[in-house]
Amino acid sequence: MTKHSEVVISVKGLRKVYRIGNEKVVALRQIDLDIHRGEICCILGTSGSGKSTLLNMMAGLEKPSKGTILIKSEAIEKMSEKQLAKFRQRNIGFIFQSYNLLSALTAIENVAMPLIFRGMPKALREKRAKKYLKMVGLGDRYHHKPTQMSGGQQQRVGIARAFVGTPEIVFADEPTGNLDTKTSIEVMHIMWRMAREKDQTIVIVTHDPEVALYADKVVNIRDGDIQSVEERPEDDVYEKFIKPYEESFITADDITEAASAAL
Amino acid sequence: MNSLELALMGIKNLLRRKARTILTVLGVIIGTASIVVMVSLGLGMNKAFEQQLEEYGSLTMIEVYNNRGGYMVMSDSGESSSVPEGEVAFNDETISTFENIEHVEFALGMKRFDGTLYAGKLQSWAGIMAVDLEKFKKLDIDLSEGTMPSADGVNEVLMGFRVSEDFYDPNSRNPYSNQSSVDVMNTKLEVVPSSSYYDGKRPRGFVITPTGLTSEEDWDYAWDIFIDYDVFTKLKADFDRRNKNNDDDNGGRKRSRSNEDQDKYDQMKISVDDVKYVQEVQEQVKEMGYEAYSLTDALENMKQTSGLIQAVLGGIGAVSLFVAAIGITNTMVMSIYERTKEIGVMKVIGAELKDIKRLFLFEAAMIGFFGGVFGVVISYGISFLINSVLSGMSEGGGYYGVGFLSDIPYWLALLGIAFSTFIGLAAGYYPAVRATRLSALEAIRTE
Repeated sequence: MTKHSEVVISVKGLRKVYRIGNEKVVALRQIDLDIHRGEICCILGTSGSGKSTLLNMMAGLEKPSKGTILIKSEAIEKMSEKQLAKFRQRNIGFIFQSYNLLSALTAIENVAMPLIFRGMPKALREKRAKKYLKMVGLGDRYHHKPTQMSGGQQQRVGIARAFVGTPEIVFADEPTGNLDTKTSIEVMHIMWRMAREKDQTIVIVTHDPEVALYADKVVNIRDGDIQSVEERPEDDVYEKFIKPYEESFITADDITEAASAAL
Repeated sequence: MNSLELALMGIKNLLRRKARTILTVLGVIIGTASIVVMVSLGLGMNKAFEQQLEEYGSLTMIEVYNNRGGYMVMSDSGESSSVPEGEVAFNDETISTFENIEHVEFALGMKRFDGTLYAGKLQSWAGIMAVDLEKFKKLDIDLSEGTMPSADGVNEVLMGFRVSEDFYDPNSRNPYSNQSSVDVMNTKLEVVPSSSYYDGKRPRGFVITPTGLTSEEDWDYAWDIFIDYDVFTKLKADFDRRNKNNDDDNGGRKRSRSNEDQDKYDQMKISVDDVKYVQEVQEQVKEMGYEAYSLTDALENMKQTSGLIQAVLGGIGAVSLFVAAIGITNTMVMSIYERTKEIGVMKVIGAELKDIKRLFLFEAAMIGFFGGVFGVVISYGISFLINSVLSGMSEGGGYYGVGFLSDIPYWLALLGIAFSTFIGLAAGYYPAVRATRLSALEAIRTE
């Protein structure tokens, strides 16, 4: 990752006001934020801080009251529902707190889902889905349904699904919110590795400071305002958190091996 | 997202909710089957009626009469020489005019004379139809025995089968109550071409040679004796000359030559090459100033009536399909509630709005389609049942011919399937649009 690469997400003067009855609730006051290509950015805040609102707006799921969001220089708040759907299909992956896998489908079918919407032929799709499942360490769980998997496994399927279309940006909404600590670390490792593999940008929303340890940039948000932005040196995360635990989880070799095998 | 993937996904979704899908499809099956069966009853009615009409006579035949109210008035009144202005002739020229109309195969002129038929002691009134035998042969009249007469033989005639049954003995005490039949084919028959009643001594007529007897199936030609026009007029002229003093035929003889030409025939038959042109030709003939009738008049009437009955029956069926359509909508709306999260997730991970819409439309259309297919299959079953049970009941009363009570032509089957599929689509439209409007954010929040 190069620190001064291009800006992928640029948030300018973002404001969001909800109207509940006659009352106005200000969720975000004034947000200005730039996220660079390849950055792993963590938006950290307590519940009610407006962090999820920010994420939803960056993903185009909600419209801002004021301000603009440029993703790859395109103002997404001006897009129609139709255009947004297309835009998401091409550029964005999404990881949910509650995994949100389709319960009727197997792991492989879930992962292949975004590719179906892109119109990719079945054989190619499955090959790719298998590759990504292998990358998240689920090479032996292709045909399991979500109900037959643990939370950690389900979230790994979710991660594979988010990355399978090689989107430039992956949004993760409390990805470890439903997981225990050990599994959380596991999931964070995987996400970190996956993102680095193709120089993808990840925006993670969380209230868990542990998760924030894996980020290159941590944006502290409170009462709808950015309190502080911490940036870490380039290899800091790797040296401190990834390397020491590498042996216990999936190794870098595993990932490259899986990737090359599938190619 | 390509259509095949979409179809597979849709079918999977339907199979996931088997019970509900089957129940919804069942509604459509009932709806489709009731429409198809109802309409089939109407169609069967039409078909049965057509068959029945064909027994009465040919559907491609038009009967034409002169507008003037018939020659009877003229010959009886004796002052008929003045043909009212604007009236039309009814002669050989008329025939060629008719034959020049498009789709007309041929036109046949006929003139009816009254006569008395003698067979030994017995006698009978008889209508004598003078026709052009060459064309008459083309009518394809069913015979129960013998052959068609020809102009070359000696006074050859075709006997209507009813003619043989109305003979009576004028000398018996109660002549009219004791009618007896005569084997007309093998009895010497003498015709007096006059309807006058002769007390005691009757004039001498002429002997006829029956060559054939019409079939009892065909009531069109049952009552008369058919003879060649030229042969008959010659015989009649002879007869009239021999019986100059009989006043009863004076009127006829007084007729001027030209008037006789005008009224050479009193009835014509026009044969049309196809049933579908009959009404057209009939209209043209009417425009020329003639009275024209055909069995298609009755058929048109019947078709209108049965069209109405079909509409009413179909309407009843349509109500149940309408209920089924509401069922589809309900099922799909329920399905949206159930799948809110799924739809939201699909939207977030890259489904386009049209994918979602198509998916829901497809599922609804499939419900309609399968309902239609099974509905049609069941309709055939019901139709078979109706036909076999009811035609079994009417056995013996065979006058109405084959028991075609329900008839499902293949176009009705296809139409039934197409219609129910369309109903499915229409019923699925609202839910589909609703699914696309669903907020992805709301959807994924649903825990």
